Amino acid sequence: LRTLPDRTAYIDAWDSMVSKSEGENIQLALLESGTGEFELAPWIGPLVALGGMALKYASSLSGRQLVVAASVPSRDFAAALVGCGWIIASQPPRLDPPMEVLRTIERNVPVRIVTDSAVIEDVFLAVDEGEQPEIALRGSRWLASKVRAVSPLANLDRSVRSPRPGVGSIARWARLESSWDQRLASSRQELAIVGTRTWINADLGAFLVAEPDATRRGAGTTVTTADEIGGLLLVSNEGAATSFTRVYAASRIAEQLPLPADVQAAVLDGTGSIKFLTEVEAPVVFCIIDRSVADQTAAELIVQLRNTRGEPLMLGGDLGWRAPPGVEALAYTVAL
Amino acid sequence: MNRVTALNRRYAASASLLRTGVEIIAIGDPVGAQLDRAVRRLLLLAQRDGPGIWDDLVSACRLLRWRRLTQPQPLAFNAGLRDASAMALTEAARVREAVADRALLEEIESSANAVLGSESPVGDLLLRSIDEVGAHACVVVAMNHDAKLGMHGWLGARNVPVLTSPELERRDPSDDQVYAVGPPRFFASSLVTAPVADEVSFVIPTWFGDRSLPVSAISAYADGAVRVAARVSTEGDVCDSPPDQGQPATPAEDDFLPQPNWGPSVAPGREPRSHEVSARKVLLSGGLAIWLDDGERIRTLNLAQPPGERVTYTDVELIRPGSYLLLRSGETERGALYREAIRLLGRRRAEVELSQRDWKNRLEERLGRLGNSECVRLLQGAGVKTASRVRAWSEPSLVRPHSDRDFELLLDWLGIPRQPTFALALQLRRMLYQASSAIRDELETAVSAADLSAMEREGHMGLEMPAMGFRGIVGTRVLAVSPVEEIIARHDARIPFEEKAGRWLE
Repeated sequence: LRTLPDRTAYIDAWDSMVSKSEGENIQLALLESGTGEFELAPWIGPLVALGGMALKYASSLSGRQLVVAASVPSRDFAAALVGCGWIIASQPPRLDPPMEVLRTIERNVPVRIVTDSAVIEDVFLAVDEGEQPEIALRGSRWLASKVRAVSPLANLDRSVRSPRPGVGSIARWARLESSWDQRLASSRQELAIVGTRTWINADLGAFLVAEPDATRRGAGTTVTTADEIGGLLLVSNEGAATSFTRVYAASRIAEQLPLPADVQAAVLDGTGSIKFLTEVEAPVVFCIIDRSVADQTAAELIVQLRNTRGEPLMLGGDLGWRAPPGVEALAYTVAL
Repeated sequence: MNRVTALNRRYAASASLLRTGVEIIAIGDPVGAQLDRAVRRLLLLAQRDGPGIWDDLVSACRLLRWRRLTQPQPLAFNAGLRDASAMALTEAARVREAVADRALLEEIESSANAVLGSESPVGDLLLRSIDEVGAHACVVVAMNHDAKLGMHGWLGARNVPVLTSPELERRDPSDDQVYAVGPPRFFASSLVTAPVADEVSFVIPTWFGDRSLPVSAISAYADGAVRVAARVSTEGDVCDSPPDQGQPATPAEDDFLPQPNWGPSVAPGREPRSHEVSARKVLLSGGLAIWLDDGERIRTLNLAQPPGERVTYTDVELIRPGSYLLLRSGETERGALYREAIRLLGRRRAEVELSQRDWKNRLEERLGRLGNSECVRLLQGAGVKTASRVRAWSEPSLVRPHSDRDFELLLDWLGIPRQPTFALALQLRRMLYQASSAIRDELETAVSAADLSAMEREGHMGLEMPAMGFRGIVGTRVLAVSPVEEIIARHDARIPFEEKAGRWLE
């Protein structure tokens, strides 16, 4: 893995690895609370890979929507893990160097700036050129040399300053470090996770690491917030100045549709959100079907859409993905 | 158990059951078989004669056979079976003077008496199986809450837990052996597709011939399909082998489920007029029913969700037995919502109302002139994806089609300029969402204060919402949805009324 040059190649390599025998799989491990022992499991990696492989396949879609449905014994973590695959495989945003961006921005435009230690959302005032140029925001001033990335925001309710999210185990493993600043700064919301918010937030608070890290840390170690799934997904919520992923409560989604046009992928977690499948217009939609729930209407709806309007795909042949034991999945495209 | 550990075990159990399959143990039950034969003859006769005289007897006999199948506990613990037998005898006596086939009635009476004179061999089989494994290592899963209560009285003394399948789902995965009482196909598919144990066995009488296992709805099209196999073993007096051979063709095995009397219902054969809608009758817990039209989504309650996320909306076509509806007596929620949304519009109200009335009148006129199916066809031709809902769009309280694109194409088709109609409808929808969100928050509060386990047990519950000045909100479980659409007055749709047809359901 260390010799791989970029993420796309990495996903390709992973693609072939997950289709090898189980023993050769790269394993990922989860830990629910901050202390305890990581648990390796054969289904974690493939669920992450599904997100990445769907993204890779989506680049060949023209005007069609890719629907991927995975049925799992229980919904826990599945939506978050698929999301992890998506961000790992996603192209980093192309942002110009900070000073170039700032010189094109007018006074009083809201911006997000990423420094060595913080992410700040505030109103931009001016660049004070000098021996040590400084950036003046409405609420603070920053040495330009400390600012790693900047992007303008469409709007800003109130200024936010949060600690800079660190690069965790998975982000390191997937070689996201070199684009991390740009990812933090970018205001694009690419991923929507729709479901039971309380449960999804609990999933996002769990820690995900690659096997070597899990083994090295052993029992009783504490982990850092950088390894939280929510940290990797750059979830936007109260007090966090990141945008990549947003979580929606299925019980309120009827009043929030349509999703923002930026959204490239929506993960519909459970019946409560899958019933809105035909109203979600993101290019890629993942449906997580919880088989432990007696209500199978979600699965019926997915099959109905496949059989009436869909063009079926082979997960193995088209996406290069193989279901791990206990998971069944299907994929198709529909006209948008 | 830590959630990751529990989840690992679930994935492992699912994979394990895929490899090893589940066990079905069928045991001979001559008395049950005699009852089954009598009920099958009755069903054929009732099918030939059509609805009417046989209806209550059919329902009572179905219920009796169902309880013989799903409640094998000894008679001393089996009030349900005794009641069903008495009801079957009562109904048989009631039709005695009116029907010619006395032999059939006698066969039914003799079978209904016989089940009271002989314990079910399935009960004995279950006890032996439990003893083999040890009571501490078993869980018995009952078909439903009634069956659970019956078997609990019997097995409780042996400390064997008896659960319904949703209750089993809430347990941590374990090494316990699961014994499910009744045919696999009538259990939720989760019992075999998302097992909480590595070993699952079903116990049934041999006279029930269908041994198919439930599958997940996507498995027919899925990679890695979760299709679990069954190992069937048979024991006891099996001269009552499945009656399919040599018998006249019988109706589907679904006839085994207790069913309501839908009464004489015929498809209307005409399209609804402007003050009418087509609707299906939905039987609800608590002796209630509503007419459910294919209109705006309906407010539902999901008891499995955490506080604050239980109240939601569901499309009408996704309402199934087991869904919970939130209804208000005397008025539909959408009526109240629409009034509130109009009020919130303030001084823009007149303009919005006029614009809405204009396009809906024009749509109504087309529906009246061309008919529903022709309108659907034409709209599909114009590229409207959800054209089949055109009738619902003409309803005053349904603001507009969900999809922007569909709404634009609809306006084009009606010959109405997209603007300002589109923008005005959007404003109304925003207000509607605002009002809806406020009511949802109130409903969530009311639901949080309610005893939901009682609601799950009883199937229905009144909710207090003093803050909104709402009276008579009731949460109630859907028992059955009629297969037939009927035409009713629009103002009758979704208003709960009292209905006895659900009495034959469990």
